[in-house]
Amino acid sequence: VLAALQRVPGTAWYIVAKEDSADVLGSVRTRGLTTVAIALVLVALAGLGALFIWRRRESEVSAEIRESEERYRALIEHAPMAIYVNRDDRVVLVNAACVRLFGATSPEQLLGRSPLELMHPDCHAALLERGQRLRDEGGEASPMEEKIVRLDGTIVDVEVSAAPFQDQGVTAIHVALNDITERKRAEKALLESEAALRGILDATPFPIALVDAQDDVIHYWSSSALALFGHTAPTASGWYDLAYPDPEYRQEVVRRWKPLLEETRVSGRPVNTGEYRIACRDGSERICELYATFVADRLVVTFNDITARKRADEARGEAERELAQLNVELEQRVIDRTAQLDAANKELEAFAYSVSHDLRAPLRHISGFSALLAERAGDDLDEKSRHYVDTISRSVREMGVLIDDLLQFSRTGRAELQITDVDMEEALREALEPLQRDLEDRDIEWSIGALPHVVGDHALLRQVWANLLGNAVKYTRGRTPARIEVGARDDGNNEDVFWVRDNGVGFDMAYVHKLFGVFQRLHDSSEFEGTGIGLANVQRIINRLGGRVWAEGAVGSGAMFFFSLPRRKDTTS
Amino acid sequence: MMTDVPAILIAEDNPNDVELTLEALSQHHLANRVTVAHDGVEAMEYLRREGAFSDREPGDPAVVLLDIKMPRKDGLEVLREIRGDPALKRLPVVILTSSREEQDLITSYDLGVNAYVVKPVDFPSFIEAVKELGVFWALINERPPNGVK
Repeated sequence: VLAALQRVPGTAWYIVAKEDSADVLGSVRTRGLTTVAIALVLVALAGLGALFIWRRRESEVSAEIRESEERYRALIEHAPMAIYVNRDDRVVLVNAACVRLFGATSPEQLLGRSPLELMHPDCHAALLERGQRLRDEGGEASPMEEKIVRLDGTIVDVEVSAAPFQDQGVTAIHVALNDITERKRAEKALLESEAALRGILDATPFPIALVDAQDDVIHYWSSSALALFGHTAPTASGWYDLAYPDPEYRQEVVRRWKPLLEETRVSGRPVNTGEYRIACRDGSERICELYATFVADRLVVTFNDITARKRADEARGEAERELAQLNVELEQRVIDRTAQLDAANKELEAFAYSVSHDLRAPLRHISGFSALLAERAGDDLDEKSRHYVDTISRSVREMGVLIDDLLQFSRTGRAELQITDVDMEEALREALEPLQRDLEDRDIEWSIGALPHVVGDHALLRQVWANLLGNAVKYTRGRTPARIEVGARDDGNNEDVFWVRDNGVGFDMAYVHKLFGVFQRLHDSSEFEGTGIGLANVQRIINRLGGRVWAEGAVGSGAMFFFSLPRRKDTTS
Repeated sequence: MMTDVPAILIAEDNPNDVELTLEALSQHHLANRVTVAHDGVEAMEYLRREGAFSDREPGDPAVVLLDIKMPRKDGLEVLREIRGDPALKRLPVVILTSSREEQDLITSYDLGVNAYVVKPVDFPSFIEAVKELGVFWALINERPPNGVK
């Protein structure tokens, strides 16, 4: 027997080859067998090799899987977000953040629990629905806000996102929880802050609106803005359409607004955009001054309602125009009246002239012919007839004096004023001269104080003194001694006041208003001669010079006459 | 005074005044030397020897006593015409009037009147005034030379 043993290299195997010498004859079969054997060996070798490689490969793959799983676990473990895995409604994996989130001290406190135990009951329905959906449909659940119950029972706001995955043939859900307590708090604070701001805006009496400058949408009206324009709630309409329904006016407003908005956007400061007529809900119109300023991209518009002021302005303007019109009419009326007055004055002048000429002529004739009659009759006239003729003559003389006085009074009113500086002491001296004859057999104590210069008409003022002093002399007749005082005082009212006081018969203050009237007399002419024109003349002259006259007196205890003259800076006019 | 022409021309429309004036003058024996014109037109016709007076003897009166208020032509117009007439401009003219109006006085003097007398209402004063006027102008005053025409 021929035999051979050979070790298969690299293995524990041996190959044995045996040949029976009897079989030499059958060497072909033997060769064939050998070939098969060799082939078998080769196959076996190859199989061993493959097994070896496979085994190696297998061990390599499982190491990779292990590593990957470790990475995944580490990733989950150290993720800042709380993560747990829900498989068959049991928590099978939690990370450290999750342990912390739930207030646990070790994962074991959470593992094996139902996720429902960890969630707030309010969220159970949503949680179950989501779990079902993820298992059935796959995909991923978008983050939802939910509440968890920590182990100590406190509730925490979380944002939950979830995704399904296959775990050992079961669909598990990978749940990530994000503690949003801080965010919720900030949101709440923001809401509170916003509410406070709205409260402030609503509390201010100034209407405010918040407008989106881009899309022209009103975001907010303060309650005073709503009240002003009659709106009951913020509308989403375009600001321009709402406030300026008239398209033409709206265009104009936009034209005015745009550059101003740019200005405030650039400067960052509020800008007064001027006055606008803004439509109210009820169709009425308010006139407002609009202030605009940008807060972020929103335009804050503040309204200053000046409607009342504008209306008042308009009313005042109207009143002023009316007043101006009235003034014009009044001026015209003054002109007309002045013309009428001038005409009346001319008429009066003609009348006075006529009186002067026409009345005096017949008087003269009565006087002349009665004198001629008396002369011609001579001694033939008895005493009674002579008395008649004398009475005629006396009456004629009286009437002549009356006419002369009346004409003088008329001239006083019409004569042109010669305004100069007048030395009142000189005017008074001149007035006293013609009285000398009346003073001859009189006992009068004079007391004449210092008199200032005035601005007036010298001749007319001399006449004033003559009339007043003449009266004083006349009405003190019978007094021994008679006392006549003349004086002046500064009235402090930018005028000088002059007076003449006497201790004569005086007058009853009840009739003081008649004192300065034409032909008004308070005494019998048989007692004191006169026509009653003197004081009327005084009043007329003083009035023409811009002053006043008045008097005080009492029956039996004298009279005091005053006149005032305004001071004028200009003494030459 | 060497002429037959009356010494005094009175222009006066009121017959009462004419009568009283003549009465006053007669008391001084001047009445027969008076001519009366009853208004301004007549006065000018007399002076210019026109109309009814075209054949009166030539010569001027010693004085003209002019009332202001007269029909047709008043005294101031007569005065203006006399002063504007080269033949009459030197003729003595006295305004004898009831008017004491300032404007009348101013106009009269502006026109060159020789005197302005307001007729007194009181008759004795009137007599006195007219007498003095007549005596002065007809007897005392020297007339302007004739022949200036």
